[in-house]
Amino acid sequence: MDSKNKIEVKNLNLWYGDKPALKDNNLSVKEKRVTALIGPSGCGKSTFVRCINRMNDLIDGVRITGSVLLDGKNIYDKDVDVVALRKMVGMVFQRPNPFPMSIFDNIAYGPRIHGIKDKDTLRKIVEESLVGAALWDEVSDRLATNALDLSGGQQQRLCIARSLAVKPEVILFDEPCSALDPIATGKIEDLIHELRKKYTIVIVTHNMQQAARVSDYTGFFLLGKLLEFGKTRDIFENPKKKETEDYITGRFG
Amino acid sequence: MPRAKLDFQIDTIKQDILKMTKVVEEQLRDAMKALSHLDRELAQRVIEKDDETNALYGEIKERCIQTIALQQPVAKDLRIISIAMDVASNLERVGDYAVDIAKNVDYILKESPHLSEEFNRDVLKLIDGEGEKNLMIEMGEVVARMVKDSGPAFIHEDSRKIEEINRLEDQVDDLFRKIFRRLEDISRKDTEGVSFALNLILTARYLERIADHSVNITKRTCYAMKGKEEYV
Repeated sequence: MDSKNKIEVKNLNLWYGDKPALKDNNLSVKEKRVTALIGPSGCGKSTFVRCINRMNDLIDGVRITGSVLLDGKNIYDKDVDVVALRKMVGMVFQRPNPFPMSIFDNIAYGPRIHGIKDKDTLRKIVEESLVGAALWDEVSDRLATNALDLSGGQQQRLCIARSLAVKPEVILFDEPCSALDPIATGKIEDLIHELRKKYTIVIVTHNMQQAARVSDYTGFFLLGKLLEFGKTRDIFENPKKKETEDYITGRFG
Repeated sequence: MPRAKLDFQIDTIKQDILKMTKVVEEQLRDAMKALSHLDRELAQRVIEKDDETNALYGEIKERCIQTIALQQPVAKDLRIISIAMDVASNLERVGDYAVDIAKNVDYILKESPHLSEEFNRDVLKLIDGEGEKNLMIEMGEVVARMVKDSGPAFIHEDSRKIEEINRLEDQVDDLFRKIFRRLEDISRKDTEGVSFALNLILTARYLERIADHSVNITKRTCYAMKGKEEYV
């Protein structure tokens, strides 16, 4: 059974200066489902996903129109607390970006800035987050080690654990496996499959097989426009648009 | 050109399907010819030809699986490749039924001397290739046309051929009913020949099954074309 819409994007436009990057996009993201966004480089999929936690606010010269409703509330409304929004909508990037500090402190960083001081509570959050990110068994005996000593795949799962620590409802993944080998990629994909039980997930990926493997819904972007959106099964078995078919079969261009 | 290797594999699979269609069509036509002329040698050749059909089936299946594993096709490419396996499997069954029909020749030659002249005359009228066109031969002819069109219908996504095959299926069903009734009447008159008549009913049944396999191919072709199993 289909779940309710967690995020509803309506008539979303974005310009970098004069250059339009997103053109009148509409998309609904279902709660506790994985939505994958695919498309060629520069098609706007990363820009789109960054609109969901207002990451584009940080870039000079960006202008946005339209709305992004999270549980029915427009996150671009003036009264929205962006820090609280980003706590609710976590993000994991292409390259793992652990802070240059211990594994423990990496995970505890978010909860601490949100005011949690109690050591036992922090320890509990760190453990839960690492378990949730399928990293606990590998690092439980060395939480004081510098996070930069972990392998690339472990660092990426640490970043996922770090985003889980602030108890988000939505997690955005922007090409989370592009810097990882197939084994580390497999672990992240298994993890996404687990995370979907509790979180709403949006993943941008260049790897179409990955989109096919991990997602419930897939959107295809081309030149700033969401060209086709549907159940992943339908997109990969029988896409409606010729451009989608050309792209996913590798006959694009 | 992007995906030249995948395109080459798909093209080879399609050519092999055409080749297999020709082989099983020939098997079927020869089986019917062997039956109508009671030609034991030709029947034997039909039986032996099944090795070629089976080998082609194996090759097509292997190439499809390999292409899926190595090229990871999706969307229409994937539908074409997976349906090619279905098509080849249906054609392989056609070959098997042609063998079953050919095996009847030996049985008829052994049994008919023990049966009454009248019975032989009535029964053989169904299968005799000489003179006036008779029901079993007519059925074989219609079914062979269906088989002939089935492979090309898939390869060329030919809606006209798909329609034609489905139209002919009604004709085949009609002929099957007529043959059934005729053999029922004949065996009622001469109970000695019941087992003989049953064998010929089975032959008609094999032809009817071959027609069904041709229709299956058109159904799967519609899926390959549209992603839905409905007629175009």
